[in-house]
Amino acid sequence: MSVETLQILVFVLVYPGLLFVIAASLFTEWYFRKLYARMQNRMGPAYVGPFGILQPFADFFKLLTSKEDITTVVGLKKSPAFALALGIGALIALLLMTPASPLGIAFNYDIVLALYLMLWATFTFVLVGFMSPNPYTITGTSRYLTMFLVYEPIWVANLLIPTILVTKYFAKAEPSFSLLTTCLHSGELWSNPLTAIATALTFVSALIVLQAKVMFKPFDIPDAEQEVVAGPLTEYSGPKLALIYLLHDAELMVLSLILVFVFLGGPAPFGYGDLLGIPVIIVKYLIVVLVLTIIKASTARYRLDQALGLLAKYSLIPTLIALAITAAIYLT
Amino acid sequence: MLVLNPLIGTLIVVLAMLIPALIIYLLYVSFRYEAFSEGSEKRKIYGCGEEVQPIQASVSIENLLWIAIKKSMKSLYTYIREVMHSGVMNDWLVYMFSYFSLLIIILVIMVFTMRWWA
Repeated sequence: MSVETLQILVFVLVYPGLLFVIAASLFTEWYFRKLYARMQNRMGPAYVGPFGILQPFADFFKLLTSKEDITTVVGLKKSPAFALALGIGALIALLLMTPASPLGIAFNYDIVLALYLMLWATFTFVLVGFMSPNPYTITGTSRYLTMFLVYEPIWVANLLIPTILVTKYFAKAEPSFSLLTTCLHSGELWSNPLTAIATALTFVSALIVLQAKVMFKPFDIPDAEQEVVAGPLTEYSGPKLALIYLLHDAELMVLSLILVFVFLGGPAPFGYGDLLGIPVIIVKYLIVVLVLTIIKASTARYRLDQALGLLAKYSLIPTLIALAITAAIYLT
Repeated sequence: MLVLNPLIGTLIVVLAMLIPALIIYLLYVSFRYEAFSEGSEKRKIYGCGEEVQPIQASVSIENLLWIAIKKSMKSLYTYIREVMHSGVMNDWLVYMFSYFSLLIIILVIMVFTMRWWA
């Protein structure tokens, strides 16, 4: 085994791979649970570890190791776990294509692969819903699928806009149409008024879409517990439920980090080689999760048609305006 | 930055997806246990306290997508339903012909736009 292969394996398994994703995702869960609880005048996680920071770890390992794996008569036994593992794997692979990875895999048009990996992680919830049918599961999955059809094209457009702008303005930056190249130059998009407007609009839109992707209020329609128990997750328990929670947290963590890299310039005003850039990235990341939690805590659940209207109004329209600006810049 | 050719890059990224996925799956398989017997109460499906028969538990995928279209594009759904469910074969043919024509037009526009940009 060559040294290069060994290096890639360490990146895949340790940082920013499996171990990092598990640790960072569970930390993110603790962070938003604690914030959400404080906003509702509750304590939040408090017993396991200092400030309850190890509570999500305890919950995860309890579900994984001590709880029974119950499958209904019509449910699939092991396939949901494999689908969930692939979803988490997709997010880990995605991190290898960002500046979070010291390796930084990049090639021309790799944004297509990055979008595919993001889609995989989100679509896993639909697959999991189909794999254990139940009236609540089907209703929840149908709701999720309806929202998915609306917000996914917006999400794709939101990530393509900065990619196109970076490719246009930094033509010498190789490889082109690459997620990593976009992340490395995204901070400079804020220095030009036109690209700054397009980036700001797509950032707002992406933040709203992310709220819907991770099923936070007001978009928690698929798993509205008073109506459909837990939606696509109703029939799951034990280790499969542990993996579902881990995928949800990993999606929140990785996509928030992507927002920081693609729209907020990563470590800007410091460079990627600067040590001071690391705390800047962490602070920006915590702010993004804080904003998502504030929206979650201050809104109530919408009906499906209202949520679709909200997505069209506050997410699709800014994206279309940004797309028009980007098209004008690209063609001139 | 590790700049690769697209084929090798895609293969490495896919492997980077599969290796952790396999580890997670093996962890799941090694930790999972079932403490019930076949036909146990735990495996039955219930909805609002009533037992649901397996045949009622699922709906076809076609219906799922129709629900999506019905909720998000109600007028389009109504139009398609009225055209497709008129019971007249010619209506269905006209609908299918227009639908595929629209797809071909979109495809041609996309190809020409991409060639023009390139």
